[in-house]
Order: sequence, then C-alpha cells, then structure tokens
Amino acid sequence: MIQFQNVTFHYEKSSTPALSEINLEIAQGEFIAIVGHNGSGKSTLAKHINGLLLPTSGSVIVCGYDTKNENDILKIRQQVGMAFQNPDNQLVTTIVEEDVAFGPENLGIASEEIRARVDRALSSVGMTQYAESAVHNLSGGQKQRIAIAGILALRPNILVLDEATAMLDPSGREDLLRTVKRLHDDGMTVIMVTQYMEETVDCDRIVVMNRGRIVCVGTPSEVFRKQDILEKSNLVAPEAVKVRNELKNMGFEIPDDVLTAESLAEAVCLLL
Amino acid sequence: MSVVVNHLTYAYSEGGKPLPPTLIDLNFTIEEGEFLGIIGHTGSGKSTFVKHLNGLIASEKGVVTVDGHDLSEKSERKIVRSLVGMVFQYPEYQLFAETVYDDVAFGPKNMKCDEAEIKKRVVRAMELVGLDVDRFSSRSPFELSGGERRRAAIAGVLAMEPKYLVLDEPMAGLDPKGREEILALLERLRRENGCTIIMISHSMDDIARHATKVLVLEKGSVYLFDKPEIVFSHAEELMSIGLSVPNVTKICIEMNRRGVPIPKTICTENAFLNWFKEGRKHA
Repeated sequence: MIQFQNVTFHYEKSSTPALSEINLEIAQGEFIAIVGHNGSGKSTLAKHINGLLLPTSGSVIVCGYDTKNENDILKIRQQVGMAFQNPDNQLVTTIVEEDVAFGPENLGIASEEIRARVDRALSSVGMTQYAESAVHNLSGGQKQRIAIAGILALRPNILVLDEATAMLDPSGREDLLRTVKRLHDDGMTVIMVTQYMEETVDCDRIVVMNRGRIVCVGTPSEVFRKQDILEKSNLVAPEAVKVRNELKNMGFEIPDDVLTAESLAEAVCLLL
Repeated sequence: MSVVVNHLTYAYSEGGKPLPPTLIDLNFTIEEGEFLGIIGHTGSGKSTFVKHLNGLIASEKGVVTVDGHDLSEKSERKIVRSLVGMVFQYPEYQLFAETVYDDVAFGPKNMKCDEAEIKKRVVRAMELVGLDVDRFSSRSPFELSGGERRRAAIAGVLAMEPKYLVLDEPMAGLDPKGREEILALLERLRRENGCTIIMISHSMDDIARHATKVLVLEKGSVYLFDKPEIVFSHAEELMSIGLSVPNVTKICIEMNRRGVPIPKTICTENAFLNWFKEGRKHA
C-alpha cells in the first residue's frame, strides 16, 4: 500500500541528508510505529507519505500513485490523513462539529452526507456528546481526537500520526492511543511516529531510525530484544522490558514477547 | 532553609471578576536539598503553583516564603528571584541571542556580574549541561539539535546559580536519551551543588526513580504529599483521579491480583529486583 523505494531527502541548506536510502513497504491494515532520536528523520519520513515532502531521489508510492506526480497528489491526500503534535494548530473553527465538517465541506459534499460523516467520525473517536461544545473548552487529548475526527470525515485509508501524543498528559495519551487502536481494528492502516516506547508494544512492526537511516524493522518483541541497536539509536526499551531483561540477566527464563506490565507480572508469577 | 507554603489560595480573574480558585489552601514545606516531583492532572494547578515560587504570580491569600523571604512583599521578590531559577515548558523557544555564549551570559550580565565572573559562570553552566564550551560557545542556538537547544536554555538559568531550580516538564518532547541526560543533570546539581529541585512531570517512572518527595495536586488542593514509595502505594486512588502510576507499580498491582503479596511500596526497577532477590523466598 505504501512503498519507499531508495528514498533520500535533503532539506535545503543542510549538508547531511535527513533521509538516506530508505526502503520500506507497508501493507494495508498494518500498524507501524516509527521511533528514533530527535533529528533521526522519523517525522521527515512520515511527511513523505502524503507528499508534504518529496524525495530528493528515489520514490514514494502510495496506493499505486507516485507522490512526485503532481496530478496524483490530491488522490494521495484523499487516502492519507495526517495528525500533528500540537492540537491547537490543527483546529480551525470554534465548535466541535463545525471543525469536523470543515474538510468534507471543502470537498463540496452534499450536506446530508456531511452530517452522516461527522456523526460517524465523532462516534469513532468517542466524542459524540461533545458535538456542540466549544473547541477551546476541550482538553488536549480531546482536541487531538477532534483533529482525528476531522481527518476521518474525509474517509482516508491511511492515518499518519506525527508525534500526536507528545503534548498530551498521560490520560490524554491513553485516550488517543485507545482511539487509534480501535480505528486500526476496524481496518485502518496506521503509521505512528512516537517518542514513547510504551506506545509501540501493541503495533505490528516498529521501524527504528538513526541519523536518517532505518537501522532495524521488526515486531516489538524482535526490536526490543536488540539492546545494542536501541542504545546506539538513543532509545530506551519500555520499563517492563528493562525489568524483564534484568531478570533474564539474573538467570530467570522470561519469553521475549513479554513487553507490558501485565504480561511481565504473569510471567513473574510463574517463576515464584 | 526551605520553601514554606502557608494557606496559599489563588484565583485567576476574568474581566475583573475572580474565577473559582485554582489553588486552595496549600500547606507544606519543601526542604533544602529535596528533589520534589509535582504531579497532577492537566488543570490541577501545578503550573500556577510553581509560578508563585519566584513571584510571577502573587496571592493575596496565604504566604509563600523562600529562605524566609516573603513573596507577598514586593521588595523581597528581587532577592527571591536570585535564589529561584525557573525553566518553563519548551524553554528553547526563549533562546534569543546570536550565540550560545551570549544567551547563557544574559542572566549573569543582568545580575551585574563582572566580565570574569560572567565567563566563569557561563563555562560552568555549559559544562554542567554537557555542552562543550569550545565547540558550542560561538554557535547560533538555532543551529543546535532539539536536545542541545533544551540544554542551552537550561544553562542560561543555571548561570544565575540558583539555589532552587524549578522546572515545568523539562523532558517534554525529548527522545529517551535526551530525557535521561536532563535527569542525570538534575541529580548532579542536587548532589554536587546542593541545589533543591522542584520538577513538574507526567512521567511517573522518572518521578519514582528520582524524587525524594512527591506533591500530588488535584483540583487545586494537596491530594498527597509524601515520599514516592508512599505516594505510589496509593495507586488505586491516583488512578481514580485520572493519574497514571509507575510501570513497576503496575507490575506489582498485577502480581497482587494474581495472589503474590509484593509490597505496594515497590515502585522502581531497583526496588523490584531487590525484592526479587531477597523477598520472594517469603512469597
């Protein structure tokens, strides 16, 4: 569904490439997490998926369309919705349902259809009861869910989250993650750029970036086994994995798919 | 010496009318040398509270004193501001000078330090935050990476050599390594310089590991004020007010649910591993 073919990207004025020789294929319905240090290129990579950035060399193919082909860029953007870090920068109106309707209205969709899409989108993010609320009264997590509802109203097949949880408090983060997981369960392809390793444990594959390159791709249990790569990439495994690894160093047998507090507790209880 | 908060109540106002209070009758003492972690839901009053610590906000109800200086007295505020350094959220947005050196030197210059003293302080502050003086002094702050910019901004506050350092989510937006670097810096400041650290954070793992005391604010009131192991042993209550708990606490809760009586006070990796080595024989 999404293919990066030998993609290299230079920002103007920068001497080093922000992305080097990226090759990555993402299948329909996958949940991908992209992690990496500050400046590793993870956001740059995400912005290539809907053609916000175009490769300096190589190609990005989304649903069969090349992002370099100007005539296809609208088709790509109808497929790919993007949510960013700061909730306040993504909302345009003062009332929740007006904000969600903003996208479809701009596409000239009939008003009954818009109504149906807005209702559906708000219910998907669990914000139906706030339809008529003022946007400025919402919490950060709620604002992000409205921003995502606005994207869903455009009916994309791919959702890209560029550190969308970074400015939220823990309960806002959990809210948003739960929403995203539900969308994924319903068939959405999700690409999530994040700084929080705890958020990646339920995804299908993790892509680890370091200085513009992909240094590792694998399932969470595969990736979190590779301590040396994580360390070299300035990353730290989730707390439960750190404890698991310490216990393993002490000589206890704990399977590699133990990544969360719950599964670790279960494994530890079997040891006692 | 210490920070004493006595019956502090504060309400913002809108159009001349007071809004419902943001802080309600806070009473506690932050001892010198402490690492105080402040946690609470968005809107619980955390940021409003720390703004009182150097007189950015002054309340008419209640008293805050720093080393005995009363912040409700205008004449005392200047003294307190030389004692209390403030690092706000995303402090790198406040970098403004043409070079890292000038930016870090801004504070001591304003304090009317002489050139030699300014230089000494800038060098010391840059060394503390791990920015090599030769490599970074003449660079523009805007050429630095995110983590470096954050540390340059913190160096600007450290150059004023505060006795109390207040930080509002200093790790927000940094990668895991960058977060560890900031925490290591704070530990070093506390151990080597005797600096008192007051930090707002959403990361319960970090609070459990580093704080010596935790203040939990809920709807403007003190919900808990105690050592981290005591505070996090109230996990169910914390979760009921929408707060999270350290991951190790979550492991312990799950173990208890499965009938293993691991103490509720275990909230860090080290404590957990120690229990595993020593205590599990009795479990």
